[in-house]
Amino acid sequence: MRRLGGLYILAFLFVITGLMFPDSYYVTVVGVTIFTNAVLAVSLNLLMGYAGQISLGHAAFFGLGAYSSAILTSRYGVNPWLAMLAGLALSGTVSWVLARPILKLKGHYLAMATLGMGIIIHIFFVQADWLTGGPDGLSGIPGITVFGWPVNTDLRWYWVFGVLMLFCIWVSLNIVDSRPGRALAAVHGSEVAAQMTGVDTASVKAQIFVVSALLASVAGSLFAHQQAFVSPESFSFFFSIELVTMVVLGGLASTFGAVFGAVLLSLLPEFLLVFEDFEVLIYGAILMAIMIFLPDGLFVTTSRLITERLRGGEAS
Amino acid sequence: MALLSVRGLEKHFGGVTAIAGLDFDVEQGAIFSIIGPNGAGKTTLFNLLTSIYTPSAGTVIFDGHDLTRLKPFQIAALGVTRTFQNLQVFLNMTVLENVMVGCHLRSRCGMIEAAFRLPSVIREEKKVRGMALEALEFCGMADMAERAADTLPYGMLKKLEIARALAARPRMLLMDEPAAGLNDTETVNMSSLIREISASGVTVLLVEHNMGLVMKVSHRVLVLNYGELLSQGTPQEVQCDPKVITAYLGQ
Amino acid sequence: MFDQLLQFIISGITVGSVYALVGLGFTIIYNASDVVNFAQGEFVMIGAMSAIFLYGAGIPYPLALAAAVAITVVVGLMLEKFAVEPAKNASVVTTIIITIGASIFLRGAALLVWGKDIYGLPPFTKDVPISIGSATLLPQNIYVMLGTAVAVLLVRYFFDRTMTGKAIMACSCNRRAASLVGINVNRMLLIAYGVSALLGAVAGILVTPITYTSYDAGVMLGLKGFCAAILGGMGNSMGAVAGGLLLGIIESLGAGIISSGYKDAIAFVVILGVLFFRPGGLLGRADSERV
Repeated sequence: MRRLGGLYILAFLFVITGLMFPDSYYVTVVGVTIFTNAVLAVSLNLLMGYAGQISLGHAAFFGLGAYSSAILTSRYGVNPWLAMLAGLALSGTVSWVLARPILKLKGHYLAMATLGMGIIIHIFFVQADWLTGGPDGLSGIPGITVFGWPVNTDLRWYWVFGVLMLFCIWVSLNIVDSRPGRALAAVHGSEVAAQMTGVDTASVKAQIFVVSALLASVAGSLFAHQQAFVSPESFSFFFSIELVTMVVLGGLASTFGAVFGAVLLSLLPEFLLVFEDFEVLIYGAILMAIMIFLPDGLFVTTSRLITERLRGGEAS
Repeated sequence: MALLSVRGLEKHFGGVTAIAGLDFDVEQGAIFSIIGPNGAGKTTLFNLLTSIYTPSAGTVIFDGHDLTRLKPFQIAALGVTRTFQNLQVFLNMTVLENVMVGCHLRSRCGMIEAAFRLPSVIREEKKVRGMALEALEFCGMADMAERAADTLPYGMLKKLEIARALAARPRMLLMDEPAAGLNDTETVNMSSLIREISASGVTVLLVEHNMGLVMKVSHRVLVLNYGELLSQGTPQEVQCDPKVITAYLGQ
Repeated sequence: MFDQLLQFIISGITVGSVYALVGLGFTIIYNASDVVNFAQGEFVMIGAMSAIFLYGAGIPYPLALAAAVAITVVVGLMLEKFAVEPAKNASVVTTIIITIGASIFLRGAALLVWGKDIYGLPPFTKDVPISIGSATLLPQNIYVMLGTAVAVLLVRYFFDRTMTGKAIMACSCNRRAASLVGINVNRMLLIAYGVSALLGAVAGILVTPITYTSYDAGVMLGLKGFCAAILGGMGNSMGAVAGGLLLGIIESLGAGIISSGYKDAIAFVVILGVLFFRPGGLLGRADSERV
């Protein structure tokens, strides 16, 4: 109960909100954005927060999933679920091949390599117009059907993406609290010591890289169907940075921190709509301010304060 | 046959020779200490034995396996583990989790099983928790299991590293200056802990500056000076060796 | 064919000069503080944009250029003072994110001040192309190369010969030791950011008459400069210069021979290749971890 308590609370909120406000734009449309971002942030956090391996190219796997589904379903009429599997296979292969050489690197070099990977894949989306439709993107992507239940309204997409997010959080919580999860945290804590306790650090880093790529890929596939349109813009370097921002905003190495960051950053543009031109500026300012003043993130710092307060209350 | 035999081990950093052609054997069950002045190459030797550094020449045979060809995690899998001079505790975890990482080799749950938390995972978690608590108990730290590692005092962090290493049930434990920075009481505790570890059947390799402790617990002592073997023998033999006295008093 | 190759090399060296200066700026900050400043490219953009707008406001050209450099240096100093210094003991990941945040912030500010349009600067002198065979060289190309060479030599002189330069190098070796021998580490870091911003502004001003600029031009330039610094081996200043020139030439040849659409990808493929096979950079050496 203690381990999954947060998940149950979140699931409860998700269901209640969906039932109470089925017509609200903020719930259904913004909700889907929030859930997508939450899946991406949670998956990135496994790699970045727990294993301590920065990635500035996570959007690439989101894109690989999205384009696989988009191309296969709209051009070749493949069943969406099969297309999603194909996307998983592609993201899995790409991440598996790149994992070892990339994760051998540390610090700035790792940042550079993941960034380079993301940019190369993004440029491919833009340039390979015979396949991807180029900068204009691909449209006419069909919707999906879940066990005969056509996902054809905003509300239905709300349910689908919400369930995906809850699944993703569940997986993340499971991994964190397990042998491979501890091995990851050990890699983060001290790579030499991890090795000396028998952890094959290269392998465990590669595994989590693949897992996080796969989760992002699923999100990408669903995203393509939900939007019915994909273009390279959604998978750019900037989006990768946004994902990093979500993770650090909530607090590294906290699954719910990542969710929290995703919620906050997905809502931000809605509030900033009024001063559209300031969006970039405010983004940068938030990112800097959080890292300077609250390097542990907003969510982690706050929840720590609350726990301390509660503990203090018990003691006195 | 010795458990560990080192032959012709050399390590050069650029033009500097850190270890110069070292030969020695460690018998099963021994407490084998390596001493020497600062910069004698003791930690370098440990790093060579555990493949953190690659030797320039020589072999390290542990129970028939040449460790120089293996990676550190493979060496750990053979039953060799170590502690570090400048602590390498996982400060991002609790005490118990640190030691649970130590049980890595005694459990097998993989990423996929973990992700879906299959029933086997839950069973194994329980088992691992028990093993970790046992190791903490052995080091007298069971009451601290749930504390965050970064809140422990220095002396406890040193013990935590030992508990983590023991949780792997090693056959040989390399301890790099376990008593450095400890006060007198803690040092006494440490020497009895080392003896208990040895009594439980673990071969101990010890690098230590505290001569009182070394002479009290060791079965054999090896003296290094500028990466060369200066002397080797029982604590008494080494203490009486004129070469050692010269090196230490700096003639 | 040969002429075409020559043309590619000329434009490669021109663009490469900018990468070299940005890479050099990276290296200076990295050496002084172990921070990779992802906002380095924004210095180039701010230098160029300020020059364009000051000149557009009727200030005489040379004066506008000088003022633009000064503005950029002030931005660099502020970056150090308000974003980097408060997070002095932060981890690598944290500093990476802070400087990325700074780069986004500066880009956002530029967007507010100057809008989304693309701007150019007039060339320094009249544009009379010089023909070499059928390849052409603009006077501005020569200014870029000369300007870069002078800047690089001055930086070298600064670090090898002057007391301040040596003090900054000392900070890079051991910050505590440096402060113990009486070096004001914070001031040295400020100077490092100032010099680095200055190099960025110079690069921007030199090349904008050829390449044009806009509020988001700094991103790619910054990343390419980072590539240059890594190619040369992080921390090796002359390596960064060589890396920048090399990158410029490879990119220009690749764009000409393979496809111009993939121009930016080429740089990153090269850098991934280098990182995978020579993690210490082409001119750097791999160092092992201390335990």
